Amino acid sequence: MEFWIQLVINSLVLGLTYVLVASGLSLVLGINRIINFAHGEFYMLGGFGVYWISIVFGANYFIALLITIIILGALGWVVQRGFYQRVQASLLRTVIVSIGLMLSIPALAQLAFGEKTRVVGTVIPGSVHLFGAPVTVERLAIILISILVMLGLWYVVQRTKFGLMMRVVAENREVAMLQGINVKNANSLSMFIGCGLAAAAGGVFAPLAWVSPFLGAGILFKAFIVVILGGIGTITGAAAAGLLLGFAEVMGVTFLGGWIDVIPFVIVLLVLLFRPTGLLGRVKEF
Amino acid sequence: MRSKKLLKLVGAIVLAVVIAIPFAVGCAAPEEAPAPAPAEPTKTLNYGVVVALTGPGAEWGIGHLRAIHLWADDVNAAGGIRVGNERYRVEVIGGDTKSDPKVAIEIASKLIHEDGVGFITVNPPCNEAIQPLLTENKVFSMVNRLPPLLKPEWPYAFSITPDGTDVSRATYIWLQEEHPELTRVGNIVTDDIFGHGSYDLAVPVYEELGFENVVVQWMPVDVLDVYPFVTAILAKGVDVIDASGAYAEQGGLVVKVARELGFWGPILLTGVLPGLMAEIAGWEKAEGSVTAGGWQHTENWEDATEKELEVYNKYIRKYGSADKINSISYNDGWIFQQAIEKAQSLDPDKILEALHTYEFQTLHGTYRFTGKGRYGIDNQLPPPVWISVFTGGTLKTVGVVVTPPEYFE
Repeated sequence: MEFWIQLVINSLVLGLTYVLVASGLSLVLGINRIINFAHGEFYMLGGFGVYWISIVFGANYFIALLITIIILGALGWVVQRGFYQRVQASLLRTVIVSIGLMLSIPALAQLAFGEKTRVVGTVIPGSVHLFGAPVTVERLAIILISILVMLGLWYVVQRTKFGLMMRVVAENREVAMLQGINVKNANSLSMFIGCGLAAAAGGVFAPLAWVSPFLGAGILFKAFIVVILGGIGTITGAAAAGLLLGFAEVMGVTFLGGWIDVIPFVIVLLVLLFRPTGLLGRVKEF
Repeated sequence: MRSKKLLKLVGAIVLAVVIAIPFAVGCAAPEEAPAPAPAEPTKTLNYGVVVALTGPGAEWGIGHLRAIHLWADDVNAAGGIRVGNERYRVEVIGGDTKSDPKVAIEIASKLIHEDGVGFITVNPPCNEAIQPLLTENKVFSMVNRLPPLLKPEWPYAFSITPDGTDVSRATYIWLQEEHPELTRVGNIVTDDIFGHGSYDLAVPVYEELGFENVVVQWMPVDVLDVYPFVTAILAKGVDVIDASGAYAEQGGLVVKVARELGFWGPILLTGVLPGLMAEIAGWEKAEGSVTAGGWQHTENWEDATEKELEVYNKYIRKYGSADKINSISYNDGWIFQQAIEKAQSLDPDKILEALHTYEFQTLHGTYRFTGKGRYGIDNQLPPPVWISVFTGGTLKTVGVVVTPPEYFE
């Protein structure tokens, strides 16, 4: 029983991290129609944000996380207005700009923060026993925070005027414009939320690992797998796919040994074979 | 007329005294004369450092690069490397492999063909990939670990660290003596050349010493969460976790997670920087973890040699803190410098002969290259293996295991 509890906790932590990052990527992909290759770098910056605000400046971790999310969300807004908006008419140009950002942000981070590995360390000490299994409070907090963030995202997208605006833009940009919706604002808002989600994931996960300028590429790769698996532009799909991937990887590590790198591809192939639009996706062309 | 003669005589005496005084002073107190400044080097000798400066292994690579810079500073301050009437100023050229052997080949090629480098320090996992290129161009390299590198086909590859088998063997000999009841080993290894190489070297040791190799978990280089790997290993009921094939960051997380899951047995981390590992794990959780290496870790200042302390202090002065300090590679440049000066030539054949003929000073003592019986070539320096354990918030040397000479000769 203890062992299975550990597996479930491990799966939830990994899966929810994927969910947070991939939801933001999927949101931007669905609304802005931008393949944001720089998305993983906001995850990396999220870790640095939490490190600097909480460790260097001594702020409370949760306040640091909140400030980081807001700052990096705002940076996402700036990136949308300053870069993507100018080239949004051309898919190829957005891809080029996106790759340029993906390459330049880690280099700038290295210049700004140095190449040294940074350690946030344990922010919520202590552990509890769930059905006999030792689980750190920190990991439970990560699960809780991630679920709260996702519920907040669901609320914003489904229950607010801003969310409605974004959903209309995602459905049909021309109709949205005819309805008087400011598409540029919708795009900027989705970038704010998308980058904020990546930053949240980076900030939430930082105490469990380490922070360095080179963390963005690995998580981006997984986020793309989740988006393809869940269906382009659907946050619910990204959530389902992220959790599926997290569970599959943990079970794979536990029972199949060194197959962790193969598992995502096998799942993607199987899902796309039977559902070409992903688990919950509707977009057939992009 | 007489007064003119007198004036000339007085003038001559004054002149003689003025000329004689400096000589007289010089003879009277030779020890107070300022030492002559070393002659300025007239030529440049480029030294290449092919290591990871970013990504996994960067902490290690940066430490090596800095150590080579410290050696170059010392050489240049002393007037450069002397070869006959020439003096060579050392220039260090670093290249970032990103732990990718393909990138390392590109860097090595540029260093050899564009920069004229004749001496290189290289780290895993890129050691092996660049050797054909180095051999073809008669470029010397100082490699770290992974014994298959040392073989007659690659005569210019040398190693001053014991290979992974020796480190692993020494660690398990110590473990067996200290904790004979612990026999079941679980491995957590990075899934790349470095990790596979380390693991392959450890397996024969388990068989030789009677340890049970219960399970191995391969972690991706960019692993996000090590919890699943540690959980899976602990589920097998292991007594010892061996994370020697993991990078320092990952090794630190393995320690942290294992302790959080209630495992307080020994965790072996012979391939990592102990300082960084402890920083990531937290010093409290690092308690009981074991590190080992060809040189004692420089955190053990109570056991450091005079020369090692000297390099340490220079490092602090130059880089501000002991962060990433790794003195091993100071020896790389120093040994090649001694070989050049003993050969009195930059001819690779003469330097090779010198390396096989003489004893060489290192930070940790004087050694001669050996290893023919084991590798077919005398390119291995045979230092002991220092075993250290995290105890009471610091790293303590708990044993020194000497590999028997018959293993090398």
